[in-house]
Amino acid sequence: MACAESARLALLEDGELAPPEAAALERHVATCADCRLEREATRALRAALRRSAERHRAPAALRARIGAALEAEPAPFAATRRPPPATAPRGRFWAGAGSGALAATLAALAVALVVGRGATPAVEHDVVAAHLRALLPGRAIDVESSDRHTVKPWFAGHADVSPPVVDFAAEGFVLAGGRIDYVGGERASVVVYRHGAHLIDVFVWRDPAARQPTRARSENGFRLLSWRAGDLAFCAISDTAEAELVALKDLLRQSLPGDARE
Amino acid sequence: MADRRRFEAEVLVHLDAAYNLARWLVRAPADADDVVQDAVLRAYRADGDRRGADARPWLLAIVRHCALRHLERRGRALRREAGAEGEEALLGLAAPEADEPLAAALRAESQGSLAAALEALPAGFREVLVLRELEDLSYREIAAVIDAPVGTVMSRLARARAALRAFWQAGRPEAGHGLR
Repeated sequence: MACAESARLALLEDGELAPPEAAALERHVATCADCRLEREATRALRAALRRSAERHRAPAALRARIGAALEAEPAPFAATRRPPPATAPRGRFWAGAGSGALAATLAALAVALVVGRGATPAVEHDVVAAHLRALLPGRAIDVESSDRHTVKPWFAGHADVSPPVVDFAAEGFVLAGGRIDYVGGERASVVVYRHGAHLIDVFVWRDPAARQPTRARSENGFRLLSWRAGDLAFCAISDTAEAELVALKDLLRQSLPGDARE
Repeated sequence: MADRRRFEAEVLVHLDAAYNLARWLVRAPADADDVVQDAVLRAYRADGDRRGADARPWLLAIVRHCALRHLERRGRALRREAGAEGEEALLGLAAPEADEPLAAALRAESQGSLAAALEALPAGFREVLVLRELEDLSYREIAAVIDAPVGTVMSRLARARAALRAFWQAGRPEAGHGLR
């Protein structure tokens, strides 16, 4: 195999060369025996592969199943993107708008969570719902690793928000991985920690507008702790004690560069 | 409901591509069904965030993600039964860039046909070939699906093809004339 040009033949055959380059290479191939043979072999392999390897088509039964599943699914963004009523304070009292979608989700989970309680901000509803979904078997984590050098780049490649990712194993909060979820119609990055037998989800999303002080709540057996840093909103949720969430919050705060802490 | 109609028109039309990728990644038809259904529902929930991105690579990236997670889970169950080698043999993803003699592995594992050889390739190589040769995606689209640089797509394609070609020519010596 002598000709240096043959390395680019795959690009030519895959249609990845710009027209002038392709034309130049074609002219070369016309005069080069090595490259002609190489191209014939490339084409023969492709033809044989396409003859032998089937392109599987979705079975009709699967199509029907998916159609039914979509039917049962709430139209997600239609519900979550609806603006709050003009008279209500931002983010409050509009759980009613989202409660249809939420109720469907939760009913599907057979979870007896009372929805639409007026004072519960919709975002925290979403956090609870997402956390419940995540507790279903096999759904907690998209990227499973205790290595921040694995989790951090995964977020960089998948998420709108690159959250602080630190393993606090020494302090009892073991980094378990990350996933993407949705709160209030926003894509949130979720950093997952294990704390003893408990799973802690830390939701992080961009929310430059709201000024929300740190607050702790309890809902349906879960503790929620919300805080902000810079233009990022944080909400930690778990069935562990509130003090543990506060400890994790303090650790995360300290891990941020000084100007982004508040 | 307009969203549902848009989803069907822009995303669900690629269901065959989604299923084909899932079949080649997880192999078992029933598993592929589950993976595709899971992926489509995730895609539906996330469709509002697609922001005009080309639907086919976007959907295929979600399918791939679900398929690999499925394999990982199954790998974990398998490992409990059979030790760590089970998972590595199943996934073959441990070191897709490492320079093991792929073609020799194919000869040992496949039943002689090119399709069987493709199936025997580690998933990291199999998926780029399936996306290029069966789905006709461009390098850039494949890069979007597997979340890797175009250079990685090119090098994986080259190595996968070299392995298949060596396997194929070994099976039909008369075709090897002058090829090298």
